[in-house]
Amino acid sequence: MPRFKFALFISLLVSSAMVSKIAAQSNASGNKSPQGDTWDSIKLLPDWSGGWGDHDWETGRLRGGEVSRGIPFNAKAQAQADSYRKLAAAGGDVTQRTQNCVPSGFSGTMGGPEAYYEFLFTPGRVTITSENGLIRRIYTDGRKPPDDPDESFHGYSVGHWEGGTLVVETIGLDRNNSFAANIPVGKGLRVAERMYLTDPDLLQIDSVIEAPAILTAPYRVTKHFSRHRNYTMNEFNCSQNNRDVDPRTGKQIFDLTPPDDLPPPPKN
Amino acid sequence: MNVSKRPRVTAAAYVFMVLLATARLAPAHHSYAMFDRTKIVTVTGTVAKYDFRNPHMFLWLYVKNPATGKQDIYAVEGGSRNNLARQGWDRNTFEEGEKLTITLNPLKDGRTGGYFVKAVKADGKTITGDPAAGQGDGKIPGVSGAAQAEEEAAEKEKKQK
Repeated sequence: MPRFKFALFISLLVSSAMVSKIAAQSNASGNKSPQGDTWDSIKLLPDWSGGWGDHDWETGRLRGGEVSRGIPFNAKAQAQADSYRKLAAAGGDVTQRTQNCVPSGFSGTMGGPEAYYEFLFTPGRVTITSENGLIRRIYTDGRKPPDDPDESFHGYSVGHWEGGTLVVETIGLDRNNSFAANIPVGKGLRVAERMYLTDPDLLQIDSVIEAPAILTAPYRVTKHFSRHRNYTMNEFNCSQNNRDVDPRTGKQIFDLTPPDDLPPPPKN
Repeated sequence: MNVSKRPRVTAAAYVFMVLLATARLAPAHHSYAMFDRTKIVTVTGTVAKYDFRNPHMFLWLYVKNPATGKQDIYAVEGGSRNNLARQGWDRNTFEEGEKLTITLNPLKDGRTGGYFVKAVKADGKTITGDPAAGQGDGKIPGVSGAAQAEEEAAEKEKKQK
């Protein structure tokens, strides 16, 4: 009888695996949504044209805060977050990765006052550009991501459409990216996103961030972006007129050396 | 530019979503630790140079020092070009040689300069700065303000226990 039970167990296991595989295939083939793989298919995708601003920041609801409470940090990261918050609360010099003009990276959230975004659809790809220089390429041509891609600030993103929702998975993100309290995310950051319109001019992005080096559990974030139709994208060149940071030390300064071309002062 | 619409959710649900979000937010280019954003100072002077560039706008101003009789130079930093442009600023917002009365958050180290709060032109027109500027009400906007609020809430919670 034990032999029979073992055979039954194996049989059930194999059946279960087959069902799972079939279900997965069924899901894949059952998704009849246009995938934007041709110019004609792109015509069937939702209209995400225009410039998109950080709605949560623009409406003042989340303006300026870097609220680190509620994030499932591990003990080490929590201590860093507490220290960061205390320093910020005291009006201290809380280092920002961008203050030394390090390029902006994707870390699971987008947004902020400088950055407006645009979504560009081409066959097999959605490209997100930002005024602050971030460019995200999301491949929707059915490819699998590499097993272990080289790290980059934008990472390696693949996606597909489920109706009007763009579903994105991103790996290969630079370990120095940060999504809170300027704490580097470390190795193994993985971000799952669902992007969709909740209103003709409002885009919602639900993200699940897995960062095993600093989190004890996945962290869920929801962000909103409001559309500004006919917006002309600007640029944000951080090194043009940066008088705030000593490039050698990264410490905050305020360089009051007057420009060479100042006119003479008024006589009275 | 169109006025954006809010999602179709109840206010309570929205607040709940916002609380859930706790996302990395708008930490601008630097921490502003060099400015005392709880205070404001007002000076009147003549525009020496207006630099509408990134990462921050700079306005250079000659201001007569009543003690010395000389013209001090003030450096006034403002928001990014992108942010200010969306508020209606452009490269012609100020002109070299024009008289201005400027309100600023002063530098903590006492040097002549600060963060732009607002400017009043000779014709009375007021130009406002970006939301990183403190308004002189003792409150600090941005990361520090949010952190202060969190610290105060944590302290209150500790006392209640």
